[in-house]
Amino acid sequence: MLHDHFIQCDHDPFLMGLSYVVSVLGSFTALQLAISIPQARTARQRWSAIASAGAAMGGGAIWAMHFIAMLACRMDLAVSYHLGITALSAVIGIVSCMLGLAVAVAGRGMFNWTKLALAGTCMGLGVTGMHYTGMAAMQMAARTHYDIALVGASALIAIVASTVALWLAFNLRGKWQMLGSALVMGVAVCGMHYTGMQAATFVPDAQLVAAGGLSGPKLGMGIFAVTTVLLAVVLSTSLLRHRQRALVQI
Amino acid sequence: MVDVEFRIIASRREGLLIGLGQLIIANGFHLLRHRLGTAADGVVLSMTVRGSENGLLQLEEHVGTHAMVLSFEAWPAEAGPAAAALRIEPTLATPPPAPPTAARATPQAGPAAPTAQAAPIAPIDHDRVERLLPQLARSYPNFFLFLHALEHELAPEQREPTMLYIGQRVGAWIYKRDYALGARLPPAQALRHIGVPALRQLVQVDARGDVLHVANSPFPHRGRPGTCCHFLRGVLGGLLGAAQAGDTVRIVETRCRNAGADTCAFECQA
Repeated sequence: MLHDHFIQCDHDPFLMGLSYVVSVLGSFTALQLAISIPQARTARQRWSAIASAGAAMGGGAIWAMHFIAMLACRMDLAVSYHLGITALSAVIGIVSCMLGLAVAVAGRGMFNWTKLALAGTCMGLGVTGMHYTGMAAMQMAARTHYDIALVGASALIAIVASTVALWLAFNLRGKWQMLGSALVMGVAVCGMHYTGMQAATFVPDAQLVAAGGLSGPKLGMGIFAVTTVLLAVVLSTSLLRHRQRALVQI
Repeated sequence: MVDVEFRIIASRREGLLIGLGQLIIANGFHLLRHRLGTAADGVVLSMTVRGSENGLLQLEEHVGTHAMVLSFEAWPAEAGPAAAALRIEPTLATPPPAPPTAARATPQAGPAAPTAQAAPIAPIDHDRVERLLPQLARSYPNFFLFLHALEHELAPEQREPTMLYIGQRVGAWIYKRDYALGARLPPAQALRHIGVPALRQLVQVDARGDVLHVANSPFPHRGRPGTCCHFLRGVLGGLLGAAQAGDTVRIVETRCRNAGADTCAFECQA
């Protein structure tokens, strides 16, 4: 039950929608890069595909989504974000996604349920870890308290939906592989985030202050840069695939 | 729109007009008139077709590489044959038939002919197959006309291995083009997630459990006994073999419309 002295977070519906779009775009980019990992012929190709897919997922689908959603959260107090912890949150998202993808395509690129569950757990925990680290970067005149049951639920949503998205991306072909997996991964990221926000309660504390760090406009610029890179990668990947497809000889 | 006259020398008369007629329609042209005759070098088909000038090169290429066509000339209909003197396109036309392939040599040899003189029958005419494959790639997925023409030309003992081989090459090509991205799948999943959508580009497919049923395979009822969808079997094998990173995948046609079944059924035996 909310008390009068708790700070309410009202979400802007437009920015909420935008956060889902960005997470789908990031997931689409990442999964398009990821499904080419089994085709890699050298270790270098393989690791560079894993790294780029992990960066697109961790940096684009998760990190950019999280901070658009944080911009959507309107509270009656000034908030800024600690630069180091914010950067750490991006690293957590990227590394855990890379780890998850590496597990998923280990061996001869054959999928099995054990690998899928491990990979989905890595990615789901990556989404969760990024979110709560990002929340820890908040600098404001309030303390954050969490409902542990909802925190657990948010992690579970992220793990289950990530697992489903990975299964769709690697096992299916065609539009379900291309779009279905990205839409589900978007649900994983957004479902986790907004459940995590429900788990958070902000209690005013005058001793704490929002000093320095990243504020709204700077954060917006960062998100814009990430989204632009994602779009560029999607476009160039699509053009490259189109060309490669035309060159395949019978 | 242009009217173009063709003078085609073909190896035989049977099926020539139907085969080329379908080719003309497939290339967006229509046949205005035709005349069939015989000359010293084969059957002569003179025909006038009408269609877009943009599609003319492609039509000429398809006519030139048609299995039954030995050579051809083409010229604008109003210009007369003199204009065509230098329009013979030997590079496009199928080269004059090689010494009869084993397939055709055997019956000609007759029972009294010494067996030593009969050319050995190669199970697959690779030269011919290699010439056909790029044509199939260009026409995909509307290439059954070419396959029927080839199958018709093959000796009975060449049909199954040749059609199977072509199918495997086409299947592997489709896999590399459209289905290579993603995890390698076990055979049952590959059949569902790759085999079914890929075959749906060619025929009507219905998956029931681990068996694929094809309702409208174009190969049955063409005057041959037994199961006959070797090409489709090959396509599935090529697709699934490529999905298994080259592991052997055996596709069996368990039922065929040619043998009285209501659908042709394919099973994967890894």
